Amino acid sequence: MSRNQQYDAIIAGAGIVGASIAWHAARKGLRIAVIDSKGPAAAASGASDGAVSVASKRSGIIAALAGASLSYCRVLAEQAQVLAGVFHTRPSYLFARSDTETDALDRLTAMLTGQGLPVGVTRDGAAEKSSVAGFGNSVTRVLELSGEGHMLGYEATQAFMEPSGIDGYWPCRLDAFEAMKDEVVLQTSIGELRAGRLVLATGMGTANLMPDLPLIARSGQLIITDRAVAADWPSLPGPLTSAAYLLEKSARNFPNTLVPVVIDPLSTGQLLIGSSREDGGCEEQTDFHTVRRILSSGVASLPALARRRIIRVFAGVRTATVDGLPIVGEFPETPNVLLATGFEGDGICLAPLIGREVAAMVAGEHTMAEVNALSPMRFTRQNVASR
Amino acid sequence: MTGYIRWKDRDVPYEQGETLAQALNRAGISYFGTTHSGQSHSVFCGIGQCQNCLVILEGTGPCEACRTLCQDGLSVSPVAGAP
Amino acid sequence: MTDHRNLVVGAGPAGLSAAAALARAGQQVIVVDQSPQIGGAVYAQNRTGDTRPLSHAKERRALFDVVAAQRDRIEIHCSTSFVGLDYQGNALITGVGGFLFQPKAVIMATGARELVQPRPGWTLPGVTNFGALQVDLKTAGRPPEGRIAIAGSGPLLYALGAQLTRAGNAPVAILDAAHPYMHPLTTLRLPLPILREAAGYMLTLIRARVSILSGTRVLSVEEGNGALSLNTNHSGRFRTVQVDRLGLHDGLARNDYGLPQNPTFPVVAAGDCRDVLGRFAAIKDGNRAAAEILNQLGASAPGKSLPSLNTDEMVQRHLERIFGHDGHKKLNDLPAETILCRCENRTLADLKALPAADQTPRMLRLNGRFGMGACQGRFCLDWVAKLTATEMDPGRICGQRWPLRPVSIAEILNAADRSGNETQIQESAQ
Repeated sequence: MSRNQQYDAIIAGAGIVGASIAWHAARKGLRIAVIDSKGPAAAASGASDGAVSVASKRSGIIAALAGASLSYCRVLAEQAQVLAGVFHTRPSYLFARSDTETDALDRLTAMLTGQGLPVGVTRDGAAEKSSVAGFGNSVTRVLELSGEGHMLGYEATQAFMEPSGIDGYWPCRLDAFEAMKDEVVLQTSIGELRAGRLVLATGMGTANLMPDLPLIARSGQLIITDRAVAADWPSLPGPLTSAAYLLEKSARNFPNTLVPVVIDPLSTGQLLIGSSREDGGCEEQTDFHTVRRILSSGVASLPALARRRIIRVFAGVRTATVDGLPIVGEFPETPNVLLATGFEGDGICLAPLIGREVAAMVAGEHTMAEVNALSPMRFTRQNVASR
Repeated sequence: MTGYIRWKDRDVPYEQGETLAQALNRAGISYFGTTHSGQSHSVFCGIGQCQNCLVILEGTGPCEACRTLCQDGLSVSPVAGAP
Repeated sequence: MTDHRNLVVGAGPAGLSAAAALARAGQQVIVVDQSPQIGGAVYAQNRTGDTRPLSHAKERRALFDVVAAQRDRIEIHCSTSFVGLDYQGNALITGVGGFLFQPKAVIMATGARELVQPRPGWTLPGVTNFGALQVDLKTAGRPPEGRIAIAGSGPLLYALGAQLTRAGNAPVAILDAAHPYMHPLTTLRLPLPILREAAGYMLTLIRARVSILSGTRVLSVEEGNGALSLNTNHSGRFRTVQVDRLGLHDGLARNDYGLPQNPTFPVVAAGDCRDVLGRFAAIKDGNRAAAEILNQLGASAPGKSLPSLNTDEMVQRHLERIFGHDGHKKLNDLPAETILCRCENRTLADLKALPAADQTPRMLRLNGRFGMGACQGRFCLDWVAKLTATEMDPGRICGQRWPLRPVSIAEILNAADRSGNETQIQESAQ
């Protein structure tokens, strides 16, 4: 990096991950710009349920990273810190409706106690004993957790980018880049930009710039309901997640006929109900059959749901990778270009930590071993340079 | 007069074929409750487009008063938290 | 799998004539409508048992006869809601007897959107648009009670005023923001049937000595002592009028809500929702829409020429001149606390506080929170567009995705799946 360049680093992608990286890098005194083809939180970050969850993560690296990020997130949410008022802790509930799902909850409690994660089990038993009234008859077990939280994607993105000292350019589309020994030259829709380093936190947009990266667009159909207006709506202090989700995310294949469903109370009193998990898709691609399956599962889990009205349906498109792990780090063929993508639905939770670690990479500092394991070097290296 | 619906603590008469909104308005009730943002629930468009005339139908949940036909004994109340 | 049936949304003049035209060409048709009876808005039927219609009796009869002649090919579902079309080509209809299926083609005949300009007090109970007054009057067979004033502009002002008068509750005042009498030459260019109808309305109003004020606008509405006070401005003279009900109407607009972006089958709009030309044009337009569908399906009957809508379009232009006024220019003069988005309580002050960069359709919604409420922008976005000089068609911004309006989860699940694509889900314990 040299003083001749406009910026020490340009972050492409103003989603929550890019915003977190920008904030952390600016704190180190680096000159930072963020560019985005549309605007802050325009893609997956703006279409998330905002759950900062460790329990829903795959055991191993991801759960460890999620736990570390959650702990760090709590620090960032302390009074007068960047995420104050944006991140809130709240109880979360996982429930089982079959033996397979009960086994998944057993594995989860083992993971939570075994790996020293910052999430605790506060209650574990029959639905009638749960602090949430109104579970359906088919719900056999409810696990109540404390320590997890909630953070709206676009609010967090804006909080990270608020400080002056971070220049923002949007709409500004990154068309190509040339990675060189001492700098990166960017060709964008607003002209040429130069920086010491380029960070690609561009979600599915990364596929346009590096077409051989094993990225997969994976969309989840989501439903937004009205506000609760009837007096008999059960109080929900936190999200209800069916254990079927744990089975879906797991590496093993389970013959599971129960449709995964999450019922997440938003601060407005509306509910976000989700979700499917489909390869491909886009924001407008929603279909009645899939939504009915999700809602049917939701009503079986919480019968009062039947009386709520839906007002909006859309699909959140997340960036997944072929091996289910995010891609964070640098390719030797493209020096000074750092990737931070492929978070598939874990972006909200991981953003605080990834922001800190990638900012460290930008500054040439030491990073966590778990983050080093996400290096793109793990893929075959042919033809991944920019067009 | 065909029958009565129940609105809060009173019986409101209706003619067969009338909607909740028509029966309530005819009984002098034009205010159906308060919205989450402090506005009044009441009839505005009359055809279920504005979503302003919401009331709670016992056993069913929120519905548009202008689109819901009266039935004898139907119990209707303002949205939760409204006087 | 695609059904052999076509879907017509809306059982008003456009929808019914379209359905009949498709049926005459050998097609099977499903017509859905949210009302308990067919007729749409203009031919809304009395539901309370009295079969004497209040207006347009002969036209209504003629239209219903046309449909009855094709009844074996037309399936009508009233008291249902059209939820929308999904990207896989399914249509969802909810309500009693609701169902899910893949139509061969769709005709949207949902009628116009009514425009009501915001002003202080427009969200008070007792203030409605003209459509609410008309549907109340026609379906109950008797007028709403109490003192009614109707304000705004357009031919509907006089039609509604006369209908209320004939039904036994003449408005205490008709407040016309325009000066229709100042356009006698344009008025004389209107076709004779229209002039006759208008004359009939005026005669009713004159005989009943209904107070008609032109060049008069309702500036604000207040409530007190169980009544509404209208503060009016008649060419600089300010008056207050006490009423129990106020109807407001500032025109009609096309209605794109429900028209999908990239349908996988033919979708055509018909009637006032496509172009506000009135009920006679709607019947012709229904026929045109049916012909268009048959064309796209490759099932065209050999070239019968369709009646042109040129006269109806000309009439519309004349009416716009006769009833035109510059009220929409006064939007910026509204008090800052005037509510624009009634669903989410967003005011003119909130709009003015937005930075210039946020005055795009996307940011007005995401940051300004205009058009994000339950009505999906139907009643606020036209004015937000005018105030920010932004090109915005509410139906294109908010109305291309299902659900077309809020629908209960129970109703969504209760709809029978007739698409042939259902996958069985077993909710069984293992």
